[in-house]
Amino acid sequence: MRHRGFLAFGIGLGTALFCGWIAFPYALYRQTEQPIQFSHKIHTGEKAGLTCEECHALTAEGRLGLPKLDKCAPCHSEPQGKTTAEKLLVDRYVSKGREVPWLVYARQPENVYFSHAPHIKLAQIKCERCHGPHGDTGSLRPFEQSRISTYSRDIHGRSVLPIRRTEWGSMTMDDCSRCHRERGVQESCLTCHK
Amino acid sequence: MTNVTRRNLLKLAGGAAIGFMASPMPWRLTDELAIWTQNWSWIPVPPKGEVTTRMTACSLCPSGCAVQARCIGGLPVSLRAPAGSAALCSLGLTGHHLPYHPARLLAPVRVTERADALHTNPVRLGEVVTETAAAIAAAKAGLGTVAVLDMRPGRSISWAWRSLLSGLPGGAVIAGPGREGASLATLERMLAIESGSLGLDFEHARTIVSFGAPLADGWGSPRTLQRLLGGSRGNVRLIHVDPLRSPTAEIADRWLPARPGTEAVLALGLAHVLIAENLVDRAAAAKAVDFERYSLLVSRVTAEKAAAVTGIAADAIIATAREIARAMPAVVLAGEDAGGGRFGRAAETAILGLNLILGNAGKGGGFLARPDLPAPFDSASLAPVQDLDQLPDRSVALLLIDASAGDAAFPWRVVERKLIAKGGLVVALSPFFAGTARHANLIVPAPTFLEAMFELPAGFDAPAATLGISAPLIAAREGGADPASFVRAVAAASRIDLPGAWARSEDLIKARVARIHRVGRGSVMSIADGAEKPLAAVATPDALLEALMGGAKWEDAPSPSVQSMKTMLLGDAAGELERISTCATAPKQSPQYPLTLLPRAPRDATASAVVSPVITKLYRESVLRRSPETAVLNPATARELRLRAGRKASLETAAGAIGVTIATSGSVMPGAVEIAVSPGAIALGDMHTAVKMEILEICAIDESGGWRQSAARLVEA
Repeated sequence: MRHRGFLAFGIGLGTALFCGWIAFPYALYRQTEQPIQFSHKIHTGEKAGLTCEECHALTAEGRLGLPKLDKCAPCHSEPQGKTTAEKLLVDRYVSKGREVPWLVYARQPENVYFSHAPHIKLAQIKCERCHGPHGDTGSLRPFEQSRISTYSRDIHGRSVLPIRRTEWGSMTMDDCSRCHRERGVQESCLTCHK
Repeated sequence: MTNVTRRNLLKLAGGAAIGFMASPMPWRLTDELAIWTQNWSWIPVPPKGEVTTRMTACSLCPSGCAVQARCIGGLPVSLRAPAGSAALCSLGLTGHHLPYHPARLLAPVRVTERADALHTNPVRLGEVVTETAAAIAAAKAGLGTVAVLDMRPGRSISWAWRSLLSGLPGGAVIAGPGREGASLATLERMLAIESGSLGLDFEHARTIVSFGAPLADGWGSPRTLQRLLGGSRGNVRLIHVDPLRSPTAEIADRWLPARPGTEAVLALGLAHVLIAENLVDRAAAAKAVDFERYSLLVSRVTAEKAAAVTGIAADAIIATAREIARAMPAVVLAGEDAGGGRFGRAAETAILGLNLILGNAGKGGGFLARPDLPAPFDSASLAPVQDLDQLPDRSVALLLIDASAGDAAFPWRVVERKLIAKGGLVVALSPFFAGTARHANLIVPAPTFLEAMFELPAGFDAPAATLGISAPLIAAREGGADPASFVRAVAAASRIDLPGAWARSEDLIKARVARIHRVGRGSVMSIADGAEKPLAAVATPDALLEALMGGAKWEDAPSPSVQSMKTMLLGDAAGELERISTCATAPKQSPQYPLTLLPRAPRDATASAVVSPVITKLYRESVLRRSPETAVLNPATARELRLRAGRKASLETAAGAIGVTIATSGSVMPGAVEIAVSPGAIALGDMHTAVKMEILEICAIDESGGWRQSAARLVEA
């Protein structure tokens, strides 16, 4: 009887731990594939030889983000190979002049105003510090979005634990504050929350 | 067979509960749900679109600070001061939130009061106009007078109001009571010059003597004062008289904590030292028709006697007088507080009289003559602009309140006693169901900051006339009314002919700009690039308007000096000052009311009568601004009266009582109790406490209509 009690307790404990640690993250995030597959490796490697800044350049207003179609079109007006992704890019977007509806992993919520310009120009922070070293990846991982908060998974981080394994593990307000404190840079609510 | 017992089930549940708590699920779910509640579909989000920057000016208070608006899809999403300008206050920084404030009015309403709260019923604009016209017709028939309470006099719309009232018996425009710069009217009367014709020249002053002016809390032109009194002050000395260790007292070179209500004695004591030591400007003193009487009067107020009354050491009074005379020019201010209002007539006369014996009138670094801006249209007759105390009690049958360009804090009783016995009709133009408008019978929604073109005439303390324009960046809400259109509609319904070809406020502003251009005097300074060019170089009125709409400011040429042949040092307060000069001891507190209540407010919490919801959160969750429900007194006074910090209490005066929480602070002098007037519950967006007694309503009103201090007591609950 006593062993049976331990067993019941163990089953309850194990099931809850499994649900909380393994099943919950799967259930929480909805996965969506990017509209087309993209290889950073090909573009930054010997074949194309591009640098990050050539595509992710600061605009005159200090904005930085994903490149528009006019960056891709000069090279991709004709298919550069026989892959499905290349065919999709040319047929669906370049030839029709439609922007690729990329799903942005690092998209901050609406109540956050973030400007890349002071971080790159003034603080000289490298892209990898926040976005991780993805310049040599061969494909794009699925975009994961919380079903409840609708935030991208990259905001709170891949780990469901609030533990940062890498500097670019998450992009929450605490991460911003931590970096500002480390660098002795002032911060105030209205700087980011207008 | 295995039997599943109740005990085993409980163990299973216990294990599951422990496992659940040891997983990230409950914590993460809490976080996710909290975020979810902030992203409901009906919560508005700024539209996506092109990012642009627009220059404009803030119209929320008379300072008219330059503003750089960052817009997305044409909608302003953040405001900041342009490079090289002083930082914006919390109100200006969040001004683009105000059109969406919970107290924002979207249609005309009739206010009805019930036992628990104020309520409103929708009413058509046409009905408001008809009722207003009917009240004007009754006034014409002799059933009282018509008055307009103008919260920001000097704007073009003020001329429209004055021309509407010009043909009505007793019609007058009343400048907001307790407003900043109101004491200049007292000095103008002492100088026997026209009302509204004085400006201040802080730039060239070597000493600023401030009796209660909250210079570090947004009083006057904050940009000028921040520059003069900031960290790199140069050779400007600040002497501040205040019973509270306020932010201005903190930055002062000399702080004189005079007992509340004894400022007139301190001023007379300083005058005594100046005259006795022959430190006055003889030529200026010779202009005073009552100098002999004044000298005799101040001869009674020796430094020792002033010390006994004010609580400031005689040595400090003597040293201060010498210090002022040594560092001339010195400007002496009888400062108004955004919550506490003006000093009484006698105190203002005694304080401002120091300027006359020091020869500060008409001198650089003192008070200068300042010609007003050109009128927007010609008019054969205009109703006068008066102070409230010049109106007879129980005379006003129709009161129109123009709070379209901001509001002010004052006890409603000072206005209410001017209304005829049965109350009269009160109609307000206000963007918000807050502040003064709550006392109206009918409220017409006016556009607020960024929704319409607002003009920004020079603040009262500017040495020369200036004009800026706050450009609209947001479409005005439907259901509101432009103030000038309302004036036209009322005039038409009352069969009053108004001069000028204008229909909307914009027309009036454009007409005034055209007249400034025709005068051709002064210069235009661009905020965007700091470039200044003479007005003569601006080709057309349209080009001037375009420059002003883009954040530029027109500034008039330097003014001539004050032409005053005769001055009156005792003004119209001779009797009161005679009485004050004979008192040898500090005013006694009655045993029933042993405390002196000092209501105070920062300007950025009263200028528009509401506060952005973002700032609301900040104020509620921090101690950046004291709540109007916290009464602060000195720890020694608290001990003496057996009051404990943190306890609930009733703050009582002869006029009423409110519930407060007691707090103690060494910044309040013994015997005084400080309380913030605002931001109140409605300003902070809580619309359900509308009929709650507010602090100003329990303040005593003195003979000259002031409410700066009251005898009070605190009774612990």
